[in-house]
Amino acid sequence: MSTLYLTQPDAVLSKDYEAFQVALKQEDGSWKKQKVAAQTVEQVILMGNPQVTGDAFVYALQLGMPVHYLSSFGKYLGSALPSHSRNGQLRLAQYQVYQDPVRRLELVKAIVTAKIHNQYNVLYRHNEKDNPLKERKSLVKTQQTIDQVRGVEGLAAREYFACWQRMVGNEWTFNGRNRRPPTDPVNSLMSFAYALLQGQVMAAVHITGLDPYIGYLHEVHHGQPAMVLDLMEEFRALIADNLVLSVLNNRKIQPEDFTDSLGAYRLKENAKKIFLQAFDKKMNDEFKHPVFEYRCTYRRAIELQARLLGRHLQEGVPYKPLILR
Amino acid sequence: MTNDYLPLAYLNAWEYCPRRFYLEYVLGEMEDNEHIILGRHLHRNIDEPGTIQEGETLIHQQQWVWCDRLKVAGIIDAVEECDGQLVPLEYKKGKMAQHLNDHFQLCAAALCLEERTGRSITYGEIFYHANRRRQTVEFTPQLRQMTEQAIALAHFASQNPMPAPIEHTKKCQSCSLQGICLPFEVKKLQQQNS
Repeated sequence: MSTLYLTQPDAVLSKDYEAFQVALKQEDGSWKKQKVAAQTVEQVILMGNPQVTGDAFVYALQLGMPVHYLSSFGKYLGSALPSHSRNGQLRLAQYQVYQDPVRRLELVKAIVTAKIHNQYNVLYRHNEKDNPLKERKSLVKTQQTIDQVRGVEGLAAREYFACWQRMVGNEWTFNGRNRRPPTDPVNSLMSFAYALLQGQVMAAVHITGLDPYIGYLHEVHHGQPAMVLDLMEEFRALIADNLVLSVLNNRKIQPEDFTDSLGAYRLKENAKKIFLQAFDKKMNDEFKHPVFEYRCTYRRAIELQARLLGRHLQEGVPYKPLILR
Repeated sequence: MTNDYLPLAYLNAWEYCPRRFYLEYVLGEMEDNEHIILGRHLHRNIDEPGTIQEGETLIHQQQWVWCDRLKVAGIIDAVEECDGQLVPLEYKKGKMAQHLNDHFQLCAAALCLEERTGRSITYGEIFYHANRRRQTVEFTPQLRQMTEQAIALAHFASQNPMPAPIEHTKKCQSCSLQGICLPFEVKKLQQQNS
């Protein structure tokens, strides 16, 4: 299964029998057309609003494919999602845990512990062994309120990103995480990776039947998809951060692949393609699941965690965020 | 008709696995796999409602049936009428064997027809497409009793918390809801915790 990315604003996606047709405008004004068998596509990601015909759009939904919209900067805008779960009781269970301080705190601790654990492993594998993240992880256990857990999370995040300058190398400048807008190339790449991840988690949350806007670690405000952000935490380091580090360390993306407009950085068209391919490859990477011991792609893992969270909320099955060694 | 009438197809699911029944009927989950798609494809030929005459036999296709006493309702693939005798008929994609879930579904349809028509129905038939055999299912007092009991249990279960996964690897492997129900994963996580 693969993801169909359209990144050119003047591209047209249409349906041709049981295939998608992508028409790309060439420099001489002619159109280059390519066909992709629809059954081999798992989702469609549109960047910079290319055109999609009604036929193609409906066909995607009929085949159970989400269609995600990203701005040309890579900001996540929203998705058209196929109808899936109609599980109203799961939402009720989700709201109940929101109102239950004990169960909620327990879940928040599990999420933040896993997040710090996965961050620690990124550092460890890049030879950044001298860091306090292990202590932060055990500090989470003793916290009494969600705000206190958030405090530890923030502390760990600062300490984690403080190691990044050494990991990305002298070619790049990284003075901590910033966004809206990202003021250096590394942050811009990281924001892009998180936006792509958010699309994946949003789709998983949706098909599971969870309410995307009610979360536990993230507050319900500003219309943020709190449940999506909660579930993203365990995957940020595993998927997005590792991917950013690997494209930088392998020089797949170079400093000249970015344009700077008044201090805000964005990826050039060709580099965007390279990064999207790398992200898709990462999503299809297999690992041995630490709990269930079967082979599993990151793509499946995201859906699995959303469903397991559902089982936790509805049946009290213990929730274990994904942590990899 | 009110919507707390149990659909006959879910009675089939109930006998297959109570958790599957709960996920489908109570929680509204669904998911296709090859078995479901094959079954749907098979029904393409017979999903036109209407009545046709074949020799002495009158065939009512895609017949709505319901029973107020047992609170079940559904659509039966066909009801054949010959010499004043009604014979409910179901099409299944699999092979002929003693599939109790199919028998329950068929028997429940017969109970519906009996309530509506006041006639007694002695047997029904299931056409198994995989080996193209018709199986005659006698509506014995025992089968009737088991069917009614299954209906009562299914109604009861729908008002209660979700049943735990069953211990039946084969059933789980061919179940389309496996990726939602997560029988293996749920058991593993619960074991680890205890």
